[in-house]
Amino acid sequence: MKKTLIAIGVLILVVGAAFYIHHTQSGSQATDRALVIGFENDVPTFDPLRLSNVFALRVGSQVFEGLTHLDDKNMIVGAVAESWRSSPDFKTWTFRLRAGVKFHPHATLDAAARNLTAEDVVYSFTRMLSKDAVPAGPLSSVLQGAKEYQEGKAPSVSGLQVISSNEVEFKLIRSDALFPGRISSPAYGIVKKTVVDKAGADFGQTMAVGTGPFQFVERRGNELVFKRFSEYWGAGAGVESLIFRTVKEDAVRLAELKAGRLNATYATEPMLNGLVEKAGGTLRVKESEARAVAIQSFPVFNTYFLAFNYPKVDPDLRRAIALAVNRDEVISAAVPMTGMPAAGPIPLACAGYTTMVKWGRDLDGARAALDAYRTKHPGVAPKIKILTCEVAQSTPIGEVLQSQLKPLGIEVDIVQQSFNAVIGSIQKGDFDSVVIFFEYQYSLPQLILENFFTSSSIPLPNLFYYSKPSNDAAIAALFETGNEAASLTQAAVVEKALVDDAPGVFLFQTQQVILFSPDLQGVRFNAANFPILTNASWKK
Amino acid sequence: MNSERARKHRFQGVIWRLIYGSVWPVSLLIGLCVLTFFLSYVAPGDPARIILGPNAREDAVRELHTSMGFDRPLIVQFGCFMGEIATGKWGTSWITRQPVLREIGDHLLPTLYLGIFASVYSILLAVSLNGVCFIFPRLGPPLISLLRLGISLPSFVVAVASALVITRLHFWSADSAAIGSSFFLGFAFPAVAVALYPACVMTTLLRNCFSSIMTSSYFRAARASGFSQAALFTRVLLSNSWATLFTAWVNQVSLLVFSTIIVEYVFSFRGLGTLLMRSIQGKDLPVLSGIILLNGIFFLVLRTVSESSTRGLFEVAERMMLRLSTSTGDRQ
Amino acid sequence: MNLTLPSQRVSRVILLQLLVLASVALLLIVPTLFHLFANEHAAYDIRVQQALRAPSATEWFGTDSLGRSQWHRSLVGAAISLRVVAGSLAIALPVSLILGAIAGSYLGRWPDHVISWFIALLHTIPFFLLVVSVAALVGPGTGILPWLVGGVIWAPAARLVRTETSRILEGRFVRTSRAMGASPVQIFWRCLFPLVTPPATVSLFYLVPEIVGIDAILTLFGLGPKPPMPSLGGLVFEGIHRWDSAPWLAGCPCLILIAVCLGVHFLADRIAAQVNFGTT
Repeated sequence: MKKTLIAIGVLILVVGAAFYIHHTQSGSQATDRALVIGFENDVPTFDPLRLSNVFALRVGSQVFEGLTHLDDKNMIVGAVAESWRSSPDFKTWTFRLRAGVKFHPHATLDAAARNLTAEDVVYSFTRMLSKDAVPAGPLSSVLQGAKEYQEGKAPSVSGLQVISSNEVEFKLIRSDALFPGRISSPAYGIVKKTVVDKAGADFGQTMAVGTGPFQFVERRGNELVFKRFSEYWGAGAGVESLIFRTVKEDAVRLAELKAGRLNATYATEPMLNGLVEKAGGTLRVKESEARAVAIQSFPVFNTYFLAFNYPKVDPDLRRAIALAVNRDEVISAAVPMTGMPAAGPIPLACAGYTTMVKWGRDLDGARAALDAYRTKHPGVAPKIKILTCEVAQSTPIGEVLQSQLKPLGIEVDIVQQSFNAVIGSIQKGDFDSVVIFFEYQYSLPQLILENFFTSSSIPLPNLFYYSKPSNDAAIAALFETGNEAASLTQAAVVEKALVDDAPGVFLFQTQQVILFSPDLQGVRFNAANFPILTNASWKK
Repeated sequence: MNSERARKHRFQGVIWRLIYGSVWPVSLLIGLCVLTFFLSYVAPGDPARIILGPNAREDAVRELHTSMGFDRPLIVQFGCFMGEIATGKWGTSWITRQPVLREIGDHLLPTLYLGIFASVYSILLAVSLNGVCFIFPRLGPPLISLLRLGISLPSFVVAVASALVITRLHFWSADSAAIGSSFFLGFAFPAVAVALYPACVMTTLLRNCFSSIMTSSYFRAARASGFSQAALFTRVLLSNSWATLFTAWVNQVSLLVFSTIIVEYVFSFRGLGTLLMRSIQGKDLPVLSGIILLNGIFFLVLRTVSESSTRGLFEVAERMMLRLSTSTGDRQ
Repeated sequence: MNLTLPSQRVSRVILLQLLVLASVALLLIVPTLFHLFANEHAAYDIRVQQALRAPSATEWFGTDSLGRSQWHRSLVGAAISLRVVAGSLAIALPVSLILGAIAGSYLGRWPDHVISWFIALLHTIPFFLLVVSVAALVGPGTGILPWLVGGVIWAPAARLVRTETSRILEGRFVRTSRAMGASPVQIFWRCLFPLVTPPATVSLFYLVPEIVGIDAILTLFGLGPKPPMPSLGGLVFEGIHRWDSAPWLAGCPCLILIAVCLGVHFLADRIAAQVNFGTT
């Protein structure tokens, strides 16, 4: 009797183990093998209105599209819109919508309702003006009738007009030669009214419907699962299934990639240690690892910086810190392989742009600024709190800054929180300064300046809380001319004035390195670091 | 007539015993609620200000303060708090605006699966290791030393070290089908990391229990009357130490919760540990209170059940011992 | 008033008391020793050129990603963590002794019920959850930590003291002393205190790994000592990020952690053996 029991027990164990092994192995042998991308942070929501951080933007770009987007050659091209024209004064823009653009399938949408219409565009842009929406600020400063709509004085936005079944007209309150570039971020994605109304607060969290190349299937634990949208207007015959998986630990993410359970991941600097080497200015995988891992590196429009809460921190203190920082040491400590020093917010990779900002450590200037601070605040030791998060080397950078500022007598208090908690603190203005990075969704300096440093963009993306009427006016003037070269030169002037005012200390910019499985091909990225996966496929 | 009255008295006695027996856990539950309620008063500053941030306008803060009822007298607030808990409305998260119970429910499964697997592993390991030591007594001392080493370490070191070792083993899969869909078998391997420390403790305790049983008269009697090794192990040793094992497990559950959080962090499971971290860093008091309350209720129920059942188990064990001694002719 | 014990037991009790005192003193002194041996400059100075060097003759534990000596950082971290441990024990021991003694002497009456109720309440939530929640609300920093931890770990020791007290108070010796007219305070000091302190100390010592664990999880949640101050648990978790390329970053602080825990356990075992007290 006992022997039978033991035998049955062993049989159950063996069957269970076999079932388990079969189940977990079968996925990797299926022909519709999923492309699994590893993320270092989770994405609570990717509703276009709430794309406030880089991870949400990368995910959002797969599902939602606006009228225009940035392609893999970093040009602004039409997404949902086929073409556009403007009035000579750049105040009226008319977009012609692409034929045959469909929304992802959803229960509330029948076949006819899934077509994209001009009304959908008007609805989406009106929705973008809601309170707390990330695009609300920048859009309301430019679109006619937006402010009145937001204040409840008008039932709709007068600047949004449906001209015909496939044309939408935007009337602006000022000249904007770069309007198509302005609305190229997934934050300006087009959505369908019936779906949004039905989903309510769940939109972007547990369900999402857009026009992008991948449709959202479900949120499973630490994963976001997507399926290729077969009726996508753009070409593409790539992977059927896409998964974004959050694995916070770098070491675990790398191990998963090497074992083939992840297929691609954005590399962080600690992961590159021991894996890649610099050969003649480019990065290359070491021989020993080449079988398991391949890399791709490309310039990204990003910048890493220490942002000040501009109204809260004393101007002399800000200036002193900005002048005292040694960028080379910060780069050697944090990003020795991928970092490039930069003292202004505009990415060095912007086409046709030459920055006027000169950078370099100026200890005398820093001391002079500190003396001015001490004169104004006698008996008060210069002190600042730096908020750091656990991604993007934020804490090591903070510690290096702390050690650099200590000899000058500036006391630095470092507070570490999770990335999402830091974003929350930034939104509430609950910080003195924060070490963080931006990935820009814009390739044009004028748009970058406007999006991040004008009053209407407070609190996000203008986390500096930087507000200066002269600066706002100078940036607005950049859009009035159609002369590209003049506009870029003027932008450089604005950037220099901005940096001199020290809303933050811009430290460096980096190349992005992507690690992926050697049998994956066709994965591309644009300079906003969005993956373009329409042609991703497995090598035979 | 007499027997009927006796039966009624017995029935009333049972009712009274139940009521009296539940006063203690219920009072603890109320104490827990009071503790949780006062947690929000430990936080410096105005809760409405915490939610809205330092940049919010004064009137918005005052409005929120009033609408959330923070200006009512303490007793009234506590009364409403207790009422909400009783009716299952545990508030909404200050970060995601979702109901607290729903947030906890969304994050519960990974933690639950890890805990269940870890408990099963630790009990199985304790029993099987002791079985091996019983059959091969020479293995005893080295095993004891290893276990003592394991117990002396902080549980998180054991959990983290084993978690890191597990990630090196390529036949474990963090396959999307396994983890993402909360397919429970996907937690089978990570749970080993959680189980190792409690297993050490329970093995040692069980071994102590076995040692004391093995010096007892009924054990010697059983061995003398020719019980096989297997029968000795199952019918005498195990059946008399169930209560100890169960109590040991109950005492280890809080450590299990601790190790589970660490392992969740290493493997990025979206469980209660992640929720706890998020609510702590975002100062999300409703979710934090909800987690503490839920934990408290869980442990209260567990301890109450264990205390009453071990009493019951002791009776069962006594009866078994009696049966055994009569069957082996101990009563001469 | 002559409350003399048989001479053998006197010397044994005195030996035990000395052992306990020595252990507690050691626990208080060791952090200071660690701090003395640690070189603050090596622990905090950032020298980026020497980042991520493996352990060698000059750098016993290697260097971390900012070039700081991991050995000195481990010593400083150990000192900080042990100070929290020592502080918590220093608070929990007297509290558990006093409350446990009161509960044990009034067994079955209302002081016992109240104190037992509080002990049961503290057992309903895992210690770390309570400590972490309060720490989260009060803010990071090590100042309040010993009070928080001490305020929860007195419970298991107090329960033990309560049982021991009730057992001792039933003993013939105490009844004799009471009959001879000794006051409750005298009974407490001369009879109870020497016999009850060792078991309480032992049970608190066995909790030291858990206290260190609470310290580590606080660092994980960002509530530990603020950077650049290291904490032992924080060093371990930081090192895990670079486990593949630099395993010494997590492994070496772990060694110190293990050594400390083993040492405390050994001390506790020695005392327990003397008391003839079974492990819980």
